Amino acid sequence: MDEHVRHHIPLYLDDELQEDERQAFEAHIRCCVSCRAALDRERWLVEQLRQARPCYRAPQELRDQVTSLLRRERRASRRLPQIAVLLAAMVVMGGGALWLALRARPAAPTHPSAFALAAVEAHQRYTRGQLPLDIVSDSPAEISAWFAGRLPFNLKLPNYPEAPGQSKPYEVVGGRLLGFQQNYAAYVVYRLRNRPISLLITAATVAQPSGGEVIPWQGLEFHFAAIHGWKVLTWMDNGLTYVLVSDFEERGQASCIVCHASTYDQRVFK
Amino acid sequence: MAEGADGALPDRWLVDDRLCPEQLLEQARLHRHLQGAIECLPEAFREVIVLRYFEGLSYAEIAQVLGCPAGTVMSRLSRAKAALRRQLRHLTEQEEAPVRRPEQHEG
Repeated sequence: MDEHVRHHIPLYLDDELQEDERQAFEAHIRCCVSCRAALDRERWLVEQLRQARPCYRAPQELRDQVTSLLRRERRASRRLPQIAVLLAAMVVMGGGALWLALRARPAAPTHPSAFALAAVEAHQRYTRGQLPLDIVSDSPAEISAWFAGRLPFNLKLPNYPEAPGQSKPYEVVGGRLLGFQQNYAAYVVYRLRNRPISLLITAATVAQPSGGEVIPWQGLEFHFAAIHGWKVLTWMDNGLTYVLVSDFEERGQASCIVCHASTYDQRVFK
Repeated sequence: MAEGADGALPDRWLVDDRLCPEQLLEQARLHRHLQGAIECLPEAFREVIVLRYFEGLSYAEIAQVLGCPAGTVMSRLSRAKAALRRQLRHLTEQEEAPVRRPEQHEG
């Protein structure tokens, strides 16, 4: 196995490679069985680590307080690294909620929306088997029919046409209702390459996309962000707000191509 | 919540068919062990694991928070994951041979 490529495996999974390195890595992985096996082993550990993350977080108010305290502290002295280390230690040793204080980081991007965070929590619970589905079906029409009348908005899951000679790269698994800000949101799970993708949908009056890298496409704005290591894409269309959560390594627009790789979808997405 | 139009509960609703209960239990146990293993890591390793995989910070952000070069973050992450992998392997081995353990004590 090429040492250089092996060194890139964790960087690839952590989204730390430059675009040209990423392309070279993916090209190598496609044709090298042993590197692919090493990538799968590393990915397994990373998935377990993400899933082992405790499912609780400090209330926003406390986070904000600690954040502003840290910022003030940073301006006032150069002892921030020690403070951060102390906090990290406190947090890991049992103060669970407090480690979130560490989000007070320099050049912090804008906060992800509460709706995006709710989708990430739901995705994590689902991958741990802690979020049973209310309807299990591989038919988008059947799932849409189940949601009809249960949501304060109309939801029709699209049935992407299969390109001739190509099987659909992903399939719908099922769905359920999830409470979000005194409303029901629709939670839908897809599966691609045997890995789950979560889609959380609510009315645009309840939640709006914010933060992350904005990718404009055909009049829509897709917000791409990494939250707790998951890839999160948020957008608004036709009065609804969508959040898509996955653990795929692709980023930005490439993450759209993951699912929409058929010739039909490629036409739409390029 | 999941009632059909006629009020009956079709069997296939309320079913999560991905993992069976034994697998779920196994997974929950693995995550508990992993959390325990993370707590037992030396502080410098624990920090990078928590900041990267629980908080989702990039290497550059971790480097800024900890006040060390990004290369150090990378090498600590790599060594931390190697240690966690060893712990998990150790756990599996222990489970495969649980009964003989006491005989190995030496006076």
